[in-house]
Amino acid sequence: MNDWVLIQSLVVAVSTGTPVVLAGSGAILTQRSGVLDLGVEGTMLIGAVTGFWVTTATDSPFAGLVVAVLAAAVFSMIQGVLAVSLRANQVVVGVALVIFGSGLSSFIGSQGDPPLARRFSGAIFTPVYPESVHDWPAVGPLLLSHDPVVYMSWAFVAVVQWYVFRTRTGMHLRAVGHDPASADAAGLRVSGMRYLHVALGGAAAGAGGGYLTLRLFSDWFDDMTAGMGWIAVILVILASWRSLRLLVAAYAFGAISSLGFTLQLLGWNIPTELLAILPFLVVYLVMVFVSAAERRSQMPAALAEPYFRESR
Amino acid sequence: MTAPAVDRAAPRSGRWHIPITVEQRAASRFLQQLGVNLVALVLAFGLGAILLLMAGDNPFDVYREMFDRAFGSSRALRETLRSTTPLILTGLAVTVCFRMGLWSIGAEGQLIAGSVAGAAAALVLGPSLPAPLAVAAVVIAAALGGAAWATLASVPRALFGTDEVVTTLMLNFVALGIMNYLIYGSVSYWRDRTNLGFPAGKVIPESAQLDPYFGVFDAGLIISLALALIVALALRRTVWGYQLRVAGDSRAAASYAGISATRQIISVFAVSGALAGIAGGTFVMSITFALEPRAIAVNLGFVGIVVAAVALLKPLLVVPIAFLMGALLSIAPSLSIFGVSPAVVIVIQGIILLCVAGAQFFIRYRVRITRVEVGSR
Repeated sequence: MNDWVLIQSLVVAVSTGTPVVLAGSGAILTQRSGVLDLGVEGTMLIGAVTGFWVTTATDSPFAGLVVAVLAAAVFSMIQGVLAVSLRANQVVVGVALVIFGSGLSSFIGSQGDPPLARRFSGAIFTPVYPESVHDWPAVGPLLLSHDPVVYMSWAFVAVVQWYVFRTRTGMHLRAVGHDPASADAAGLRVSGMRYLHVALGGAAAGAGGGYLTLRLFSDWFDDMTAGMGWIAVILVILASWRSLRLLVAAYAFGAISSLGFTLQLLGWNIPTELLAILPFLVVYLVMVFVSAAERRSQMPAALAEPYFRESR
Repeated sequence: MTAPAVDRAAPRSGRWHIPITVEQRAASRFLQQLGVNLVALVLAFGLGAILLLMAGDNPFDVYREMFDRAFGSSRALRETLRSTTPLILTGLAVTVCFRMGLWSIGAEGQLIAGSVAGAAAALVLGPSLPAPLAVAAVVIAAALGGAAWATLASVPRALFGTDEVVTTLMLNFVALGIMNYLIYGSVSYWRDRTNLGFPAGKVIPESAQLDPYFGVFDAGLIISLALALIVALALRRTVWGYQLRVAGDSRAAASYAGISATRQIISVFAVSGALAGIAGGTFVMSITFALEPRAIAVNLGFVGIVVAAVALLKPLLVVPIAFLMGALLSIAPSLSIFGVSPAVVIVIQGIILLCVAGAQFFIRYRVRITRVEVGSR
């Protein structure tokens, strides 16, 4: 493999992995608070379709991204109400949100004249730095050729890492996810913290979804996330709830997903249907391997357990 | 039973006081549970109506049309019952796992594995076997296929504690990819080789195709009803079912009682996978008559979760709920004819599951408005 192929493959891996970086970092915040939001796939679709809608109306991908983030945060409040206040089974709620988000986004996509699903946005995110910079050896394509959302995702990863481990609120967040009864006794608002971080996770998933329609595909079609939301939730587990590790895992996912692109550059021909299996197969095998080798889990101890003050 | 716990939304900082008391119910009656779920169902259709209104459709017209297309004629009823069969089976598959507290969301992938295995059996054995034997061969092959696929999740779960939510999900996508590869990505045994320009599955022999009795229902429905009865009896009357329920209530209690978690997890997953696999097999025999990825991968496994949850994880209740969801599913394609997005059906299914999940709160807890005595603190 020559250097050019390697660098082009890494660039594609970054853009393919970016939705997962965003959604996954958000999911870290949600899961750290003790709520397992499996509905990320549905939330991303809501972000994708609303972002696309606003962008086709305003010609501004930035406006689209803002709306995607807000709409997804509102959508994720369904998870908040059901999981935090009504103490519902979070696996069932997650699956329900994926079904609902998939149906609702497809419904929204069928509205309008012509329907969103048949429009082409035109306005998408473009690289921040001028073309001439992209040709600088190595750093040009790898660091300077990206669009604003990629740089935002790097900033977000750093902020999440700092927030969770270096701030007082972050410590409270970990406490709420680890031992809500003690956190409650210490005077923390368990439900409030959980609602807030479900919303933050939803907002980030919305940004990830928005990136699909406003950059990666520059188009809307039904169920376009194709499992990315599920992958994001699972990579959070593999990354031990740490955003820097998640970044690496998400780009590894991006590289595996875009392997077809790399192989094409090398002149190999492998059926796309087989390549499509690869990321899911790898995640399955890694999950089995990791759980077989694992000694001690870093999972928030109260993950997916509703908190009921009197039953502690 | 411990005394009901009480969660008074007591003022912490003295700034506000919500006059609501939430109490855990000591026990809940079955009819009460059913009532709450029925209210959740009605609520879901109400919320769906609001969405239709927002999109500029008249919800009453749409719902009346949907009702007609689901039950209005014998042909409509036949389509509804055809969609009911796989949902009874995936609903049962989910029920068995969830009752033990195994959160498998792998019915989708197991159904696909079942349809691949079932279609293979039909294509290989169908031409040389008479109808009843061909059908039996397909059912057995589909059950084995689904059970084998479930084992890929159950063995890591039993041996290493690998999270079954993660493995079953990933295996769903892998199964879908394999089925797509068999038809769209290669010239496999399952593909129709007489017309290579247009990728399609090879049609199974007539001996393995199910004809409807009285033009309304076929043998697949009878098989699924029989299995619902068998699962209900197995859960209630067998040692296997008893141990499953014990483990579902308390994993610790089960292990103190000497029930082997390893064997139990693997056997429960195998039964669940076999049920979902048979759903795939009957789907091929009754609806698609070939391995058709686009027709088979229509979220029947995920809707099975909706069915099982609404049915309160009771095998016999799965049947009527699957009938209702089957009706919804069968009319989806025809909705676009009168200008409504077929996605409405998915939206309503999603809302139903959300409402039912939320409604469990009102089954487990009693909510009362309490009088606040000002200055009592």
